[in-house]
Order: sequence, then C-alpha cells, then structure tokens
Amino acid sequence: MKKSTIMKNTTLYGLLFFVLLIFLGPYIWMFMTAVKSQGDVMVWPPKIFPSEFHWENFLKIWQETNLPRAFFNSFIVAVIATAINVFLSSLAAFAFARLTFPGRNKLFLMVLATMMIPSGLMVVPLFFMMKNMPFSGPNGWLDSYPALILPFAVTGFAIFLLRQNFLTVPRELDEQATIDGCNKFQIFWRIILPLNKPGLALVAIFSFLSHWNEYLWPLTVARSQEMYTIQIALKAFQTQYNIDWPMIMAGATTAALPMILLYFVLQPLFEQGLGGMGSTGKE
Amino acid sequence: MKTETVPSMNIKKAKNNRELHKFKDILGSYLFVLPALSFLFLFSIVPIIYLIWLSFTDYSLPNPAVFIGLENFSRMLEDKLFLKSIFNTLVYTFGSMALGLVFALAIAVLLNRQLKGLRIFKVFYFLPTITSEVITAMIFLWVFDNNLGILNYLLKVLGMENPPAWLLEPTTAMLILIFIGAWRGAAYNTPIFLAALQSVPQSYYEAARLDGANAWKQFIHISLPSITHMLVYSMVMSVIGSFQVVAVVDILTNGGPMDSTMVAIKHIWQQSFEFNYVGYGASLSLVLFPFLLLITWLQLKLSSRKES
Repeated sequence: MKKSTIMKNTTLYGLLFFVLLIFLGPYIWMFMTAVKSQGDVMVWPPKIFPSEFHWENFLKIWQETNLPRAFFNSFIVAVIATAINVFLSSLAAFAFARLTFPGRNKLFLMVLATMMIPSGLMVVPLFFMMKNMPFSGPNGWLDSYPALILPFAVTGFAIFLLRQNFLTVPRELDEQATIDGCNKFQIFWRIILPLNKPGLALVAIFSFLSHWNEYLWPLTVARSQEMYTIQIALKAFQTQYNIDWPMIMAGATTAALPMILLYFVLQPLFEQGLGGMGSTGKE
Repeated sequence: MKTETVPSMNIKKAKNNRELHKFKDILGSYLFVLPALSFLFLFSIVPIIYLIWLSFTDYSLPNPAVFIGLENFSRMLEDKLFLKSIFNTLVYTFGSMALGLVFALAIAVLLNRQLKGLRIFKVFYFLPTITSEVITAMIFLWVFDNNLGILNYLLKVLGMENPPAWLLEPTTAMLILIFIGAWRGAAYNTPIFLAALQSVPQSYYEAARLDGANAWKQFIHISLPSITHMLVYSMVMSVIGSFQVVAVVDILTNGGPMDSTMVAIKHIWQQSFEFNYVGYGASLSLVLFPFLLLITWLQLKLSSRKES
C-alpha cells in the first residue's frame, strides 16, 4: 500500500516536471541566450549557460534601439485603454444590472453580439475609418495615439463580466442607500464599485494585457517608428538583427518582463481570473 | 415632511411631476450606457457596415473607391492563394485546437488533486497565456532553428542523424505552427478546465468508487460529462482565436515555405495593405465573417444535441 503510493507520487511529480519543462523551458532558453555573447551561441555543441554573463546586452537594447520609445508607447496605450474600459464598461454594466429603461435587453444583446465579432476581420474597415476620420489631417488618425487606443478600448466582454459581478450585490444595499438619499451615480460609485474590486481588477488586467500584447492593429495603424508599440518594434528588431540571437532574445526578454512581473505580483488575481475566464461559457 | 403639509397641489400637477421624474430617470439611465455603447457602436457595428460597402468596390489608395458590384467575389473563386490560405487556416485551427484542448484537459486532471508543491507548478504552467504571440514565436524560431537550434541538437544527441530543417519544409513548418498554437492553447485552457473539474461535487466520485469504478471510468462517466459545456465553450473560443492567427506566422515563416503557412488573415492583410487592393481585402474579410459564425453556431448546435 505505502510503496504503491510512493510509486504513484513519483510518477506524478515526474509528469509535473515534464510539463514544466515544456512550458518553462523556452523561457529559460530565451533568457540564457539573452545574456550570451554572439560567439557563445555559435559554438557546437550548444551550452545551456553562458561562459560569461553579458548583462550589457540589455543596456545595448536600451541605448541602441527604439525599444524604449516603443515601451513608452505601449505603456501609454495600454494604460489609457484600460482606464477607459474600466470606467465606461462599469458604468454600462451598472445600468444593465440595476436600472430599467426602454430597450435595455436589446442593447445588452447588442453588447453580447459584439463579443462574437472577430477583430481580425475588422482591421480593413477600421483602418479606413481611421484614415478618413473627420476633423483631422490628411492621414486622419493614422499613426496617432487615438487610433492605437480607441477602437479596441471598450469591450463587450468587460461589460458582460462586470454586469455578472454587479448582479451578485444584494439589492437591499441599493435600497438602503436610496433611503439615505444617494442618487444612482452615488450608489454606483460608493456601493457597487467598492464591493466589486476583484472584478474591476480582472477587467483592468485583461485590458492591459491585451493591449500590451496586441499585434495586428498597431501593425496596421502605426506607420512611423515613433509610434511603434512594443510588439511591432520587436518584429522590426528581428529584421534589423537578423541572426544576432542574443540581441533578439534580449529584446524579447525585455518586452516579456513587465507582463511576467505583473503576473507574479498579482498572482492570486490572475489565478482567479484565468480560471474564471471560462465561467462566461456556462450560460 | 414639508410636502405633506401642501394640500393645495392638484392631481394634474402631481401627474406631470411624476412623468417628468420618470423621463429624467430614463434619461439618467441612458447616460450610464451611452458612452460605452457609442464606443461599441462606432468601432464594432459601423465597421461591419463599412466593410460591406468596401467589399463591392475597387479601392486602391490614393484613388477613391469605385463601385464594381460582385467583381471582387468572382475574383475570389480564381484566387488559388485564398483557397489555400483557408485550407491552411483550417488545418492549423483544428490541429492546434485538438492538441491544445487534449493537453489542457490532461494537465488539468493532473493538477486536480492534493499534492505538495502543486501551486508552484500551476503558476509556471500559465505563463504562456500572458506572453505575446510575437515573443512566443521569436523564442520558438530560435528553438527550432535548423543550424543552431537547441531542439536539433537534442535530437542529434538522441541519435537522429539528420533532423529536419523544421521551418524550411512545408509540412514541418505547419507542424511547428500547430505545436505553438497548441502550446499556447494548452496553457490558456488548463486553468479553465481545472476550475470546471474542481466544481464537480466529490460525492459523485465517492459514489462511483463504491460502485467499483476505476479512475479511468470515473473520468469518462463523471468528469467528462460534467465539463462538457466548458469543453464546447473552449472549442468555440479556440476556433475564433486560431482562425485569426497571424502574428506567429509573421515572425516564424512569413507565410512560407511555398505558401504552406499562408493563413487567412495574413492573406487579407497582404492584399489590403501590401498590394493595395483594399476592396478585394474587404470582400475576403466579409466572406470569412459568416464562415466563422457558422462554425461557432455548428459547434453550439452539436453540443446541445449531445446533451439532450
């Protein structure tokens, strides 16, 4: 009995480590390459550890490429888009969860429908909408922050998720607040929002993540290097450095680091959010 | 309190007041939804209408769009690359979806137990989900490099004389693409399945054990049916996501070798923005639109039939 348990646990841990190797291995390899010299990656057989840690690769990335600018752009885009999404979606979600007004259900259905629209197919018409934006220069909004930020800022998913969250708050709290003289906005601001911090944080995290990692849209509207976001700059980087693997991997590591740090710092929230992503499929 | 002492207020006035109040109420409610809904309307609904219009035009910058009827659509039928890109996308989508979901389920089952240190493993398993497609593709470009890549070195150590030049041959290039899709998909879906598995009541398993069901039977007869809705959901989301794959392809193969990894969105993007056939690019997008919705609808339909 005891022996078989040990056997079973050994097998389990073996499997766990195997899966870990598959998921984590590529990251380790990325990092190890990033701190090697170019000569180090050319040797055969390849070495896992560098013969000497070349931290200056990261310094080179920071000083010789336009990655810092792209970093800044991505940060601005992701932060503003996230702020817009959290604020406007929670307002709408509050109305859908708590208020009654004509056309409410139809409008909510429209919100749900927008979740099904494949964004990749929207790139062509959106590009021309940006280009022909009224009250702007000859190129419209192309190559500007509004084009990078606005089109995918508000998501139907955020409204849907927050509405689900808000519905779980007992209505007695609203009623009590109304008696105490709160208007609707005050109920929203002082009662609903503070009670749904995890849900709001979740929406914020996924908004930030999706804008930080977005590729196709910035590729389409960012025309000049000054407006490149981090993913586009990385791609340009690949052409620039061709097979200088340490530099490419140093760039990739630099770009991956903020999300990885955020992930570890906000671990409980992520864990809850990642598992909860499927909960939308229940109904 | 004071209003109670005003007996002179006539009924009509009160009614008017109430209606005004109601009107204000409704107006107030719309103020809550209007900002978000204008965003969605402007950037989700309007583009669809615009897309429909564009797809009936011949539009090459800087010339204005010219209405040409169905010409774009007849052109599509002769566009071999379009058909190939659809075929490639389907192969990628179903390959990566099947592999990704099977692995996600297996890993979720592996994680769904009491074991020391499991949390640490879980934390690292989810990393690919937060890493961008571009970065992922760059890492694997390096791993699968045919000269200096670590994989071919390992294969040689394991005794393979001539490991393939993965990204330079059509079949293996597609396989690598599917592998990366599955790698991301497995990481993404594992926590979803794990959450679903954990919500299955333990008493079901205890009852089954009393009936003498082994682990495999418990999985088939209890776990699997309990998470069917989640499986279907993940399938639908995988199809919608995988169908729009483009970043990984751009970094890894740029559609090659010999268009073997040319995928639908990349083809549309090339036609629209590299070759400047905007109208044609729009019509390609429009054709894929119902196609994607159809797949989604079919999957939901099939699953509901199975359940009933």
